[in-house]
Amino acid sequence: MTVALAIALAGGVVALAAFAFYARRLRVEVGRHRVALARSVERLEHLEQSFQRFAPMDVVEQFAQGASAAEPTHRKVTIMFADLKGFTPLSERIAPAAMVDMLNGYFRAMNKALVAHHGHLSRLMGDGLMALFGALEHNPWQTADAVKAALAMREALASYNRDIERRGLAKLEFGVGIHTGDVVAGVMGSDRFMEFTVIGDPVNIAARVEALTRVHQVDILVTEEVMKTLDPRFVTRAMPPVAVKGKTEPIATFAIESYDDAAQSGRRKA
Amino acid sequence: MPLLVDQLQWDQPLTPEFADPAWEAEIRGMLGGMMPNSLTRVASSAWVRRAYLNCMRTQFGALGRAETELAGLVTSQENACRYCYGSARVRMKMMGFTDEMVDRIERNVQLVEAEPRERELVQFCRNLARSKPRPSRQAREQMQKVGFSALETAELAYVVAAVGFCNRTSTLLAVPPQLDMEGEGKKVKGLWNKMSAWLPGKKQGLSLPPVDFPAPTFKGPYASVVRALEESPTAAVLEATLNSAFASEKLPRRTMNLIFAVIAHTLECQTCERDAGAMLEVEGFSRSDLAEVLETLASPRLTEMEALLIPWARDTVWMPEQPARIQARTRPLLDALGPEVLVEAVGTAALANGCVRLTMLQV
Repeated sequence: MTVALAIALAGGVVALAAFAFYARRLRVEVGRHRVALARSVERLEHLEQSFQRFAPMDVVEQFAQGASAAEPTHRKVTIMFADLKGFTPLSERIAPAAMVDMLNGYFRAMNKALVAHHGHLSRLMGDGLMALFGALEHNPWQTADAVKAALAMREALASYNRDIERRGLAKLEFGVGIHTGDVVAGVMGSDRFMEFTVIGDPVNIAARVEALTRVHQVDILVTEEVMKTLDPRFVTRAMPPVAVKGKTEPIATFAIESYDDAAQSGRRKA
Repeated sequence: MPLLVDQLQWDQPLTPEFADPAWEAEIRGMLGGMMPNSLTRVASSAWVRRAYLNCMRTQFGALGRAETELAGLVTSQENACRYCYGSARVRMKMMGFTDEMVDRIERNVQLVEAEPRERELVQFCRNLARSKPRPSRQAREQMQKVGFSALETAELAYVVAAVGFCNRTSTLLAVPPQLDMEGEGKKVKGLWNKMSAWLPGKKQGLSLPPVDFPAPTFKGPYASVVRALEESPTAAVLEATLNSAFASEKLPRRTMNLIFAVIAHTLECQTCERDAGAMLEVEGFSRSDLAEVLETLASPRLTEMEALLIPWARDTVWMPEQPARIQARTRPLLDALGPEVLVEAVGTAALANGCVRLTMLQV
């Protein structure tokens, strides 16, 4: 009887020990999975945050919710092209690392001005950029925002030039072209490379207008469509119409001189 | 993914603490001796402080406490409000949510593991708070599919609007985060808290006694927005808030309506824009003058104060990823308007943003 009880007790102790051992192993296993899960989540978040450097946050999140959330749409968007004048010969005279550093500083300054005026940097093309206003959200003031952004970019470039001239580098000059119109906005590309962008004739016109800054020897040019929406606080100067590639009619443009907040606001007289 | 609480950059407060012993005594009596920073910083405005307090003690017809808190957390995170986001986390923990649960809600990528009802609630609140674009009928139908009644959805929209009001008020004035409360909240953890939260007599966070508001008449300013909440007790709260806001004399009614109109125009809310237009006409501000303001965010008809507030009001619609940016944008208004008028202007913009989001229930 005592022997049987002792055996049963010993069996119980062994079973309990085995159970405790098994439970401990399970706990370790769960802990390991939890750490792995936390690391995966961290990696995913890091990826999502890193991806925001390549596409606007709203687009990344729409994509994360499912592809249908980021379907292309027709919308009125204001497009800005900005390009550095004479940068190619300049870049041949400086070391690649210094050139990239100089360009990165320039893009940082331009992006800050764009974001402050409700725009977003859509694409970088060498030393040029394309920015959009009203592509991600409804923006009834997108043309004024774009022109204000261009003026802020002009100021930012002047400040950046003072900085690079102190470093013994030649100062930069840019040309900015702005146009507005209906485009298709959405995520486009192949299965290997995709981007959120806009397509349509207004995009081509904005690019042509930017090129006209060299012809008219000015830094900021807007089309008549943009001009019509601006109030009299924007000080502008009409440029002679110029024929451009792909357009039968010459394009009328206006140089943006300044913005006078104290001037009489309201609608521009027709 | 919206930023987490510790990633948010927060500026120094814009307005000083406003001393009002009677108000302080009322709040301390209600909150067991506590005086939240938010209620001190907005205390100069009778309606803003009352509206803020009412957001903390609204009674719902159908929505449960846990889902209300969940919606509040998500909205505060989405609006990048360091003050409300920090406080919401503590309240959720006091209600029995574990660190892991709060963490999962805050981190979008983990939501795939959530129940469909919870997932849809989080998504609905995020999308409405963000309103890029403002959700519509489709979003309401989606909520219905996972079991939310029309009343629950309407009350969730109210939570997003009301919490959004607190978020904007706290953010635009840079109310200092309630670090003492957050510190206490860090101690609240574990299974015991989760279980004990449901014990009878256990105080669940800041559980305030609800207020009896008079039944809504649907006749005051922006009555069509109040109508969207017709079946819910929240309609009475919203109507009382709108009535007291428009009865205040610190900011002209015309200026308030212009702020409403600009915010409605930014979010394409025809209901609020129409109501604002009608009230402005009564104030002698014509439809064509309003059209000019909405077209250019300026007009020779605007007063000096309105010329400052109108372009700023538009910037309050989408809270930037980093709140310090909108705080820097708001600070120059403090010099021009002074703290008392600024609190009313901030309250008006916050209220307008809430109303405009609520009209999603009617489209």
